[in-house]
Amino acid sequence: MQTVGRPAAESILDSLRSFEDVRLGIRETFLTPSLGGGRTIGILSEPTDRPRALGWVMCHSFGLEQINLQPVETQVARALASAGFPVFRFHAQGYGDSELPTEHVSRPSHMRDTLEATQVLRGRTSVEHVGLLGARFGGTIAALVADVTDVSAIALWDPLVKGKAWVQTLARLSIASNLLIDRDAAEPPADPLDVLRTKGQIDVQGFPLRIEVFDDIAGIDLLKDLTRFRGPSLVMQISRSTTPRPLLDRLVAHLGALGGDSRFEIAADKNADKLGQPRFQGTADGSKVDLQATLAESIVSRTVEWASTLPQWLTAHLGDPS
Amino acid sequence: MTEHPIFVPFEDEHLAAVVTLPESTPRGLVLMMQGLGAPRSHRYRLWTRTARSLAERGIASVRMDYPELGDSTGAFPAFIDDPPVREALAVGRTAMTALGVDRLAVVGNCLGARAAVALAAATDVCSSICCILPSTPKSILQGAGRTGPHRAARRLGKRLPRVARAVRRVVPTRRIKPRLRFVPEVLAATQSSSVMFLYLGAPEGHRRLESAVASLVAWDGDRGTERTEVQLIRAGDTSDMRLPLDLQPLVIERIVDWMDRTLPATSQASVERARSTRRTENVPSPS
Repeated sequence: MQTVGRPAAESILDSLRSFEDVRLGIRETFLTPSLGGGRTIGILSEPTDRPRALGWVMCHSFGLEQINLQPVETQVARALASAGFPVFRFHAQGYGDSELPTEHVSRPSHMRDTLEATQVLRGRTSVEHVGLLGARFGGTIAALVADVTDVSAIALWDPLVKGKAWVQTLARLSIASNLLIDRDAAEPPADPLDVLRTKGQIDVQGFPLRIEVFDDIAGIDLLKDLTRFRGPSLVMQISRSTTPRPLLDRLVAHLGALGGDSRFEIAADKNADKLGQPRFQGTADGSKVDLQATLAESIVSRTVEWASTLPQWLTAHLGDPS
Repeated sequence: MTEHPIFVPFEDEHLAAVVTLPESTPRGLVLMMQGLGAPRSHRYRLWTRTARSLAERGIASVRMDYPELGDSTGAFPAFIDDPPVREALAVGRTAMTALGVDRLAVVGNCLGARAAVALAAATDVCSSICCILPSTPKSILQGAGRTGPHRAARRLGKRLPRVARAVRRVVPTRRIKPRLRFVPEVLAATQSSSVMFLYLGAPEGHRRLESAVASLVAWDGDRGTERTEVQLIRAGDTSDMRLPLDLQPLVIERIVDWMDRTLPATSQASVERARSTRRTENVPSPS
């Protein structure tokens, strides 16, 4: 064994931060920016040739959904980069490889880190316009951030228009978790909302949900909270049926009423209800199945097709960015 | 402590990983492998938190994304009987080369536990293993823990549900627990490495596992200085690594303590151990 000094070790490791995929025509580079008061890790996906002036920041979802939605987010990032758009995806504080613990997670922390991530994208690339993308809670964060800063476009996949029902469902998942953990419990499980009020925190599938985070998310209402954003938007409903959901319909109308060009798409898929749940599953014979391959393809192709129309829109409305 | 994200070239693809370095010269390197579907940080950031605790004890680590998952490219292997051993070895060797160490320790759960024992069985790079086994440790059992008669009875039960229900009324079939039969790589791993089985479940399951491991180790007479342990963290159903908040720090603590005990005490001891291992390996066989 040879002892390798720290600088040499770091030099070897740093030489492996990036790779090029010639098949897709993209380069991916690990970045380690400071966001939200701590270090974190993100990936910049860029076209190797002629990047467009519009880049994207991916906003991830909340709790375990952050893990479960990552495969589709990665697919979209690579497909957009392949179509010429730089994309930055990252772990907000409290998630993945970030420095600060999970206790720091809240809606404001998601928004703050996303806002700072847009600066990372601007600083590392020559983009002149930044768009935000996100699924479910990540889509809601994308919309909320777009409303308070200079963002050119948003793509929301099945966003939460109102947070209350979603966060209550999330809280109720803790009953299921506790039943699994203690099947022999003598007493029926307490209402998680009561526990949340009395103890200040509940365990939702191993993720802490604090009362102030619960209350804050429950107060989200995109139909009231969005007041300024006037850029183009894609709102994608992901459902088993092709019937539009009234709340998403109203969100599209609201975005249009604010002055934006809003497109509504319905990605109907028999596994639509699995979005946000684990994508891969082991089977009894020891093999694995991808439960969301078709759905993911649909999300990717619709998003890239819509994004490819944006440079013309931006040119028409804001002048030629290049 | 510093963290270094890397892309490890693997055939035509790239495996994403994060190497965590302690402030001092590392006394060892731990490779972390999670179950199916989880990214390199694992659920609850279990690996991220473990990596930082290990770094506090002077131990480096590398956590990786499997192909198709997290930020890695490529297609994921078939699954449990084809664990990503070559991918793990590629990431492990890259980190070993960067750090200048020639052995590593491995911690894994579910598919990662199977990959850990397979890695130890197939190569000579593993010195210590921690297999995290949820309440049903099927990933390291032959036939996923089901014997031939068990599988046949289940098939029959599905075809004749009324008969199955009648039988269950008379015979308490749920209490029948077949003997735990490990996949062959487990024995090979205990021969070459120190192995800790960290069982997350009920004491009854722990006793069965302990007894199965005792038989395995007793059958294998020549074990050198390697050690095997079975530890218990009392828990309910932890299948799919469902870990409530209060169990997460306990799991991290046991992993870190095990690595602390089984890896060389200092980086210098690590160098000397490597030298002595090399001398032993160079001794020609008497035959």
